[in-house]
Amino acid sequence: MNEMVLKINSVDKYFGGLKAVNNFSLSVKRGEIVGIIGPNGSGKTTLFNLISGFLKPDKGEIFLNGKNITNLSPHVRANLGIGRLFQDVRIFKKLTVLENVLLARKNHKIEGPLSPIFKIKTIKKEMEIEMEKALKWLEFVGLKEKKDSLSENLSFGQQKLLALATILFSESELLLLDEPLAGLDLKMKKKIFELICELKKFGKTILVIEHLLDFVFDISDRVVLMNNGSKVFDGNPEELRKNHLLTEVFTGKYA
Amino acid sequence: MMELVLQLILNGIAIGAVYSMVALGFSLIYNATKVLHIAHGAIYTISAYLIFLTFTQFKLPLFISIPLSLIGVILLGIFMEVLIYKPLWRKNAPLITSFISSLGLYIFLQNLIALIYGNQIQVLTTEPQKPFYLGNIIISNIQLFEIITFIFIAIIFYLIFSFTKFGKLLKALSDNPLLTEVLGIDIDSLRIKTFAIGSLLAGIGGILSAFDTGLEPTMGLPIILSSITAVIVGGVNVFEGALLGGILVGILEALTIWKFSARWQSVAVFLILIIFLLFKPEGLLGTKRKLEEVRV
Amino acid sequence: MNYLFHILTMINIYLILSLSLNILVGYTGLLSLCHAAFYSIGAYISALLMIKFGINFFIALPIAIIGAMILSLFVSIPSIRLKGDYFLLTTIAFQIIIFYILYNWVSLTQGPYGIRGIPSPEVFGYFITGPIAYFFFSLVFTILCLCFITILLKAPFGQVLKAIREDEILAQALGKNVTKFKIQAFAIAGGLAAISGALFAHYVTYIDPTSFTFDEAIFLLSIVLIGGAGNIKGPIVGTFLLLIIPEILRFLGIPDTIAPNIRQMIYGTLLILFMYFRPQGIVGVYKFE
Repeated sequence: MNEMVLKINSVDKYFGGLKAVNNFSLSVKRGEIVGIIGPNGSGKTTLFNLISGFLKPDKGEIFLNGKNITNLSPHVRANLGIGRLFQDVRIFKKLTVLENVLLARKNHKIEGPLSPIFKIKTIKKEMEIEMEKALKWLEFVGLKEKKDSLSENLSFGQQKLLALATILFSESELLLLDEPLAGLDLKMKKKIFELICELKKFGKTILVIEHLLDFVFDISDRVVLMNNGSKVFDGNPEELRKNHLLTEVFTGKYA
Repeated sequence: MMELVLQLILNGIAIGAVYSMVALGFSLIYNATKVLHIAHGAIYTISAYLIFLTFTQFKLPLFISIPLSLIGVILLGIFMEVLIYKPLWRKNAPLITSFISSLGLYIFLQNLIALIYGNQIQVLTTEPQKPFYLGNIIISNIQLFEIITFIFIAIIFYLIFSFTKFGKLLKALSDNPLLTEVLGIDIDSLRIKTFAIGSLLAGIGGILSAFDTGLEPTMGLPIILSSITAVIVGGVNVFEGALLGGILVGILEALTIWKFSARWQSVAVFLILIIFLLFKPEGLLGTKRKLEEVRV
Repeated sequence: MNYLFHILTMINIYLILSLSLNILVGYTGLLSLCHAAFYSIGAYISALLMIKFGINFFIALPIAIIGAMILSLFVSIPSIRLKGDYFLLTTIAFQIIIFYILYNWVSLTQGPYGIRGIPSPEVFGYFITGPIAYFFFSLVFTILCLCFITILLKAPFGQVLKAIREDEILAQALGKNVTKFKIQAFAIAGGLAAISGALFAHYVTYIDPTSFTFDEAIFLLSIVLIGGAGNIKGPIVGTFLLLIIPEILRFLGIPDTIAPNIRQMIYGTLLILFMYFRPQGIVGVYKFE
C-alpha cells in the first residue's frame, strides 16, 4: 500500500491575471492530519478545489496513491477515495437525512436505469446492507432519530453532522474538510472536534482548513501555512506556534 | 448570379436591421434583469397591430399613429415589468419562473391578438412599396427606411452608452451583474427604464416589419428567436453585439436562401445558435467570462 | 360515447408524455422545451416504417423508441457544457430544427402534406381501430409506462436524479457521473415520448408536422408545471386538467373558431398565476430553487 496518499507537485492556478495558487507542493502520508491555515484569500479553498477536481491546475500535477489524477473529473476522483466537506454546507435539501447518506454509496452498479428491472434482487440485498451502514454512521454522528427528516429542516450544526456522516458512509480515505467548525456554537464545535479525532483512529488521511488556530494546532500532525497562494510553512505545529511567521502573515506584514 | 447574391444580401441586411433593433431591446432587458423576456416578441407583434389599428383602421396620419403605437407598447412593456417580473424578483423567485411567466404572457398575448384580429395576414396599406435602383439591385423605400433607422439607433445608443450616466451604468451592469447590489442604485427605476427603452426598440421593429411584410399574430415568435440568436452570436454582455448579431443573422438567412432554399432559413439560424452556444457562448464581440467560476 | 373514449385515449397518450417529461423537469431539474420533438420522432418513425415496409406495430415501436433515444443525444450531450438559460435555448433550437426537418424533407416525410393512411396496430389478427378499442389498447401502454416510471424513480437511479436536481456539484463530489445520468434521463424521457408518438400516429391515422410544433412543446411543459413537477401525481393531475379544459369550453358553447385561442389564453394565464402563487404546481413538490 502506498505510503504517500497525496502528492501535489508545483501546482499553479490562475484566475485571469490573478495567481491564486503559486508553485504549491505538498506530500501527505497515510493517516496524517494536515491543518491548512492562512488568511482569507490565501488560496486554501482553491487548493481543495484543485485536489477534488473542480478546478484544473494551470501547471503541475497531483497524485493520489501514486496515480496521476491531474486531469480526472471530480466524480472519478471521488470514486478513487477523495471525500469533501464543503465550506458552505452542501446537502440535498429536499431529500431526507437517510436519503442523503445513502447517496454517498460507491456501488454505482445499482444506480443504473435498468437495474430496477433486471437486478431487483441485487438492489434489495444491496440496499439492506447500505441501510445498516447508513444507520450506523448516523448514530455515530448522533442523527439517527432524525433519519426521516427533510435535511433542509435540520439546524446548521446538524447539517454539518449530516455532511460528515455522508462522507464517512462513502468510506473515502482522503478527507478534505473545509472549515468544519465554522458557524457552530461551542457545544457543536466540541462534538465535531471529537468526531474528527475519532476519524484519525479509523486511519483516515485528513486535510483540514480552519481559522480556529487552537483547534488546528491541537488536532494536526502537521500544519501548512499559506499566504497569497504560496506555501510559507510546512511542519510541526509547535514550531509554528513559536515562530513569528504566523503573526506576520495574519497581520499582513509578510511579504 | 452575383447580382442575385447581392440582392439577397441587401434584403438580409434590411431584415437584419429589424432583428438588430429587437435584439438590442432584448439585450438591454436581459442584462439589466437577467430575465429571458420572450414576451418581447409579443411587444413587437402588438406594435404592428397598433399601427394597423391607428393607421389603417382609424386612418390617422403617420406622425400621429406611429408615436401612439410606440407609446402603447412602451406602456405595455412597463406594465409587464410592474405586474409580472418585479413581483417575482421581489420574491427572490428563481429566474426560470420569470422565463416561464414570460412564455405564458407571450402565449396569452399572441392568442388575444388572434382572437381580436383573426389568424390571417394583414397588410397596412395596399400601396406598393417604392423601389430604388442601385444598378440592377432593387431596394424598396421600406428597406431603405429600415437600414436608416438602424444606423440612427446605432448612433444614438453609441452616444447614450458612451456619454450618459444611465448608459455607462447599463454597460457596467452587463459586465458585472453583481454591481447593482453593491452600488445601491435605484434598481426599480432602472428596470422600468430598460423595459421602456427595450419595448420602444421592439416597437419600432414591429412597425417597420408591418410596413415591410405585413402582420399576423404569430409574427413575434420567429423574430424573438432570431433576435436571441443575434444576441448570442454578437455577444451577450456587449450591446454592440446585438446590433452586429442582428445584421449577421439577416445575412445568414439571405445566404441560406441562396445556397439552399427559403424553407431552411430557420434551421440555419438555430444551427448557428447551437454552434455558438457550444463553442463561442460569449459571442463575436463579447468577453469570455471565466466559466470556471465554481462556487465551492 | 365514442367521443368520451376519444378524450380518454388522448389522455392516455398525454399521460405518457407528461410523466416522461417530468423525469427531466421534476426529477433531474432540466427544463426542456423539446419534448414535442421526441413525440414527433416516435410518430414519424413508426408511421413511415409501417407504411413503407409493412412492419408490424410491435416491431416498429421499439425502433421508434431507439430512434428517439439516439436523437436525444443531440440535446443531452450539449447539456454537459451548457447550463441554465443556455441549455434551455438549446432545447428550443433542437425542437424547431426537428420541426423544420419534418416539414421540409418532403421526400421522406411528405412535409406539410402529412402522412395519410397510417395502418392500425394488429394484435392477434384484430385491428385496433376506433376510440373504444384504442382506449383499451393505449391504456395498456400507459399503465406499463406508469409502472416503469414509478419504479425507476423510486429506485437508486431516481434518487441520483433528484440529487443532481438539488446540487449537481455535491452529486459529483459523491462520485456520481452526472453527465452519464443526464444522458440516460434524456434517452429514457425521449424513448417514452416516442411511445406516445407511435400511439398517436396509429390512432389518428394522419399526421403532419403541425401537431408537433414548439407550441406543443410549451403545452407539454405547461402540463408538468401546472400539475406539478417532482412526483408522479403532478403530471397526472396536469394532464387531466389541461385536456379537460378544451372540453369545458366546448360544453360552454364557445365556437370552434375561437376556442383554440381562448384555450391558449387560459394556459398562458395559468402559467403566470402558478409561477407566482404556486410554482410547485397543483400537487407537485419541485419549485426550481
